[in-house]
Amino acid sequence: MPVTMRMAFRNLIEHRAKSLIVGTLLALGMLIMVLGNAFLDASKRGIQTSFTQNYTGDIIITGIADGPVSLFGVQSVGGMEQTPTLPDYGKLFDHASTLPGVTAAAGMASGFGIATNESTDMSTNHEDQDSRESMMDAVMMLFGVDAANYWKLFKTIEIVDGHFLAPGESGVMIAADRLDKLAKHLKRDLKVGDEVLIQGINSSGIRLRSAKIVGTFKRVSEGAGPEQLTYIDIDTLRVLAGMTVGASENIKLDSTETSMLGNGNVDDLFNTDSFGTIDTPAQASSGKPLTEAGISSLLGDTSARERLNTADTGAWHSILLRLDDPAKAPLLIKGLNTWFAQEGIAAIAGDWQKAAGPYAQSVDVLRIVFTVAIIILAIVAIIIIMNTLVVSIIERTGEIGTMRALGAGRIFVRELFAAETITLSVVFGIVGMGLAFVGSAIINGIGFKASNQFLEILFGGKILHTIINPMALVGSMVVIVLVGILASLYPVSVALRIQPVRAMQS
Amino acid sequence: MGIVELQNVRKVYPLGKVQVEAVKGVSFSIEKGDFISIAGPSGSGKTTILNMIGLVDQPTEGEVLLGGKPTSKLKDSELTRLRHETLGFIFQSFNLIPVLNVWENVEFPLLLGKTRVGKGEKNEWIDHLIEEVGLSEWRKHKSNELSGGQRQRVAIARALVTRPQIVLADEPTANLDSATGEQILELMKKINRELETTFIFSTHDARIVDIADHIIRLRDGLVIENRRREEPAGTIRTNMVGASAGAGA
Repeated sequence: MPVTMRMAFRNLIEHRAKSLIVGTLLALGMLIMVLGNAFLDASKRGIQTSFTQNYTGDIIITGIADGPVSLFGVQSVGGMEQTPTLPDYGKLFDHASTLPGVTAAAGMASGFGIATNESTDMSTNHEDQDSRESMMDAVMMLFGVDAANYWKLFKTIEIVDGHFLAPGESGVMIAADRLDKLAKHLKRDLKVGDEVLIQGINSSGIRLRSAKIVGTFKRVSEGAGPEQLTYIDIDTLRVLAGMTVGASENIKLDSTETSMLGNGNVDDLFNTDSFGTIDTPAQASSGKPLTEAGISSLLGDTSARERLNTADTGAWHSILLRLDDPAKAPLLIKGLNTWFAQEGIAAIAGDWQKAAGPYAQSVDVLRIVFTVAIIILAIVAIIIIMNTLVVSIIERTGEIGTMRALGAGRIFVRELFAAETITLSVVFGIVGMGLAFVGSAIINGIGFKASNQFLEILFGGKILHTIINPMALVGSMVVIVLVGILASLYPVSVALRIQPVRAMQS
Repeated sequence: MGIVELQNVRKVYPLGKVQVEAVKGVSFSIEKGDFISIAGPSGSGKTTILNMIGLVDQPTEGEVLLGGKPTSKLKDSELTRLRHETLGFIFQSFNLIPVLNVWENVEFPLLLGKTRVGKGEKNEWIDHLIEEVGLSEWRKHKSNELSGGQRQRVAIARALVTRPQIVLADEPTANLDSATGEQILELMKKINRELETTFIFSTHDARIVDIADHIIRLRDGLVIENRRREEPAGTIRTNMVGASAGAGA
């Protein structure tokens, strides 16, 4: 063993108290880093498993918007309202679903709704706690699904009562554990076969649709996900979400209509005397004066409005793909995006994280917060370790001076302290790792349960798990050694300034 | 030409806002194989001169020559190498490295230089030195398990391990009882005779002065006596460095 290593080991043992102070900090840092990463890795893996099995599949194809598009809409100020529909859905679906490695594919669209009664007063004050909770029970994250394919993609969904939505069938499927809450909110019994009035809110206004409960469901694979998720037939969803013929129809006004809209005083529209004076193209063409009865007759014809309000049967927000091997996803995504570019289709493919949107990002946000906390902790640790080492070096001034007098160069002194620091970091890093393994085993053994949805997302499932990743161990060890080296830079510079003459003065 | 020469060496220390002139222009020469005592009361400048000869301190003015080569313009790395190859140190407080045992302390200087000797030869030499200083049975002990005399013996073995031309000893008997001090002096004298190693002491121990071949006495940073043992007390040799043995002397 080189003399520097031998001396480093012995110095660390000789100065036990200081070694313990510095070592405890390093071990604690390692423990926090390893356990924190183990928690975050488990959380991400939990969310990944839950989402790929239950909601996202392995690949998602969406339209292109200003912000990232997920199953839950566009992540921008506009949110769900700006979620683009897929262009050339049929062509996209045919291409994507027949790619090698794709075992299932389905289209879907998303929206939000609120279950309501016809008698519900929308102006009801919901400020008290019970009302707010009750309102949350009424909120529905609506997944409008391609019933012919969707259930093949997500085999983790099991029917508790009733049946799966069939192709062409109208209705909703509600989570079995939410049915009672919904019934309580609506203040009536609810069972399969009953109708529920759903209020959809979107940029074109509020729409109400009644939908029959065709079934209740549960998931085989429980995990983090939107609690209020309700499956609905795609056409009803389209109407509730404003994905109608009118919304997608490109209506152009001719010059006469445009000029009519631009003329006149708005107040005149509400002046009964004005009926006889309005000069409209209709009046001009018929040669008859425009009377109140005539206007009522015109407005009474709602056929055009009804046509525009029917669901746009070609409108889908996304296509989800299931692969025989999820590891193939990056390659397939790349291939799909290249194909979209070649074909000039404004669509984009992404992985489960893109599909899960804010849910997947919650782990990334947590990791950023965790990393910042680790950096702050590292800075504090560096300062404490640095002070301890400086004190240690001042105490060893005579020893360092003696070594210099005997012929030790600055490089030797640098190597000696580097060896001490690295030895300390590695030894106590390993201690910290050991503690992290014990901590992880205890956490996994106890099995802390998530008591609410926030914790479920945080835990990546119903129970807190930690998974120690070997790469995280290596990374944490590198960080700990770096912290040790950084903390020793200034103390070593102090040691290097010690002149050999100090040996004579000791 | 002497193995060590000091030419008009002056050393000024800052002490707060005041400049203290510890050595006031000293010149003398030391011959190879000398057993030389630099004596004087506290504050006379003997340790300062020893430090400058040992290349652990630099003169403010003047020149220190080792083996005829000036040292004032050498870089830190060159001074380190010269110290390692030419000089051995024996300190008043022994200055053993606490985490190393007797054998390892003696070995330590051999691990610092660029020249490497064979392991067998190295071990044999270290064992020989430890035997010479009478510590064979203590070779695995650490310094805190040794008496003062034993520690100084280790320091002597360590000073000799690189086969230096010069050994500098700063008050080597100051922290020892008189009997142990005498044993240590006898040991050093024996080594001086057998290996022809030059020993330079800074001391106010009369016993060292009595056995020294060459005596230099200082007072207030000036040489007041510089003579061979056989020469009468009070002699200031003037043939050592040009015409000057000690400015003001």
